[in-house]
This record gives sequence, C-alpha cells and structure tokens, in this order.
Amino acid sequence: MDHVIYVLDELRVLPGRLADVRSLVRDPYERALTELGMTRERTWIAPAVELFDEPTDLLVLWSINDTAAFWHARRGSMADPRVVEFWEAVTPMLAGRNRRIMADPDEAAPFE
Amino acid sequence: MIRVTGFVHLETAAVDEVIAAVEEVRDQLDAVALEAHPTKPAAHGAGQLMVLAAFADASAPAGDVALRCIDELRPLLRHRASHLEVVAYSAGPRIVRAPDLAHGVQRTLLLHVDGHADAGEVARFERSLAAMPRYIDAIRNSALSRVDAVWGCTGKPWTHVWEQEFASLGGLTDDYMNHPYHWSWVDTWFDPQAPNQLVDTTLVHAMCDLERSLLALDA
Repeated sequence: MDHVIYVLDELRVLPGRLADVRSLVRDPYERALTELGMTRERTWIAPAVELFDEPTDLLVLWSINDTAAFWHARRGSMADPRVVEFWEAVTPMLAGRNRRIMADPDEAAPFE
Repeated sequence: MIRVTGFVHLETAAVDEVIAAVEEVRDQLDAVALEAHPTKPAAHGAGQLMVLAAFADASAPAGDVALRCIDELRPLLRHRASHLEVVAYSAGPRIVRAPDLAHGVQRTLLLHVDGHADAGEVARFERSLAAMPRYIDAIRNSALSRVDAVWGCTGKPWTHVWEQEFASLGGLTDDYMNHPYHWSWVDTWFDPQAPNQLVDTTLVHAMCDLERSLLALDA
C-alpha cells in the first residue's frame, strides 16, 4: 500500500532575512520542486512574528504522492541546478536547518 | 574472511567470454568462493560484470589478497575490459538470516563517507544502515564493511561496502526501495538536501545473480 509522503523543511532564518528566504523558496525552489512532483502544502513561521534579534523558524511542508514519486523527486533534485542554486543562496541567511521525511502513522501502519 | 569484489566495464558481447575466463582461474586464485555474473539492468556505475570472491586467508592484508586476485585476472581482461574497479575488505558486522540462500540476488553499494564528518555521526550512520534488515525482512543477509583497499576508482575513494543478499530481485526493487525506514531515515545521509548528508553523491549501485550466500560463509 502506498501513501502520501511529507517533507518538512525547517529553516532557522537569521534576523532580517525572512522576506528574502521566503522569496527564494517561491522561486526558484518551489518552481523546481513542483516540476519534480512535489506540492507546497503549508508554510508557517514560529514564533508567529519575525524576531528582531533572534532567528525565526520558517517551516515549509511539501507533499509527494507516493514512494515512486519520492524517488523521482529525490533523483531529479540532484540534477536540477535551481535546487543547488536555492541552497547556495539561502544557506548564508540561515542559522541552521533541518529536514524531516514524514508519513501519516495510520497510513504507514502496514510498514511497522 | 577477506572479500574482493570487482566491477568490470566491457562490451556486453564479451561478458560470457570473461565469465568463462574467470572460471578457468578459479584454482589459481584459491578462493573459498568465486562467482562472476552480469550486472542487472538497474545497476548504476557498476559496469557489465561483477566478480565476487572470498578468501580464507585472514592473516594477509586484504590489499595483498586482492592484488593476487587482480594479477590473475588482469591478463584476461586486458583486451576485453575498458575499466576494472576493485574493492577489498574484511567483512564487517553481518546479519545472516538465510545461510542456505541459493540462487538469490547480490546487491553491493559502494559509497564514500566525508572524511571531515563528525565521528559520532558516522557511527550513527553506520548503525542505521546496518540495522536495515531489522526493518526490511526481504534483506536475508547483509554486511556493512569498511573498505581496506581500492583499485580503479575514478572519484573519491570508496570507504564502505554495503552488501545485501535477497531471495529475488523484487526484494531489492520493491521491499528495500519502498520501505519507509529507507526513504525517510537512511536516505537522509545520502541526500544533498538533507543537513545530515555525509555520503558523497557518486555511488556504485550494483546487483547480480548469486549462486549461494557469500555472507554466510564463515558467519
């Protein structure tokens, strides 16, 4: 049984850079990932306001239809210069980042 | 037990001839096991032929054993192969659940771990990779080994060999590739977009038929 896969990018954005990072997420990153079969589902900031003196977390949730689509996007992103360009541009604006690959535990149950 | 695995790049038409030639030097090699099989179509960076050898002489450095093996094979390959890549290693931590596995599928992954990576993270990566059979039952036997010697590598030298033995190719292409432990956990160490990546993106991803388990030889 296949199921939707979620990718959560947790970007710890340096003070004053949130607008720049959001812009880069929209283009080129989202444009590239959309073509690779990924959908941006939600975007959050935490806390719910950009901090002046501390990093603000920008959380971007992506979805992928199934495992085959995951591997298609995974391999495609390695060959897409826009993805490389995005990470090169955004990394100096980050205090850190994390990436989680997730699934709904009810849907993932057959794999337990 | 010393393992030597070779990846031969050659014209497809020459594969059978080279397999027969490898068989002819079996006695000279004094190998505990020696198999040569065409790589499966899904293989990547592995050439057209895999040579799998195991030697009992654990007192000799793996590199020396491999060199003897290469010297025997080199004349056979000189006019037939365009490239030969060889790794030698002592088998690392193994999980053997099907010692009698026969007519299965061998999968070998060669990888390079960043030499600047935090030692604790490397150890965590190794534990996670070696634990895959605990989650994926189709992996009947497996071993994660650190490479002792490399020949013919054109990029960053291989540091690890991750071997699995399956009952059938579907165990690799379906069970292994589609399991969430693989794509949501282990793969992050391979993914350039993941902050914990420590494996170089260039890999040898190889699979071929396997007459009998090599990982179970002295397990």
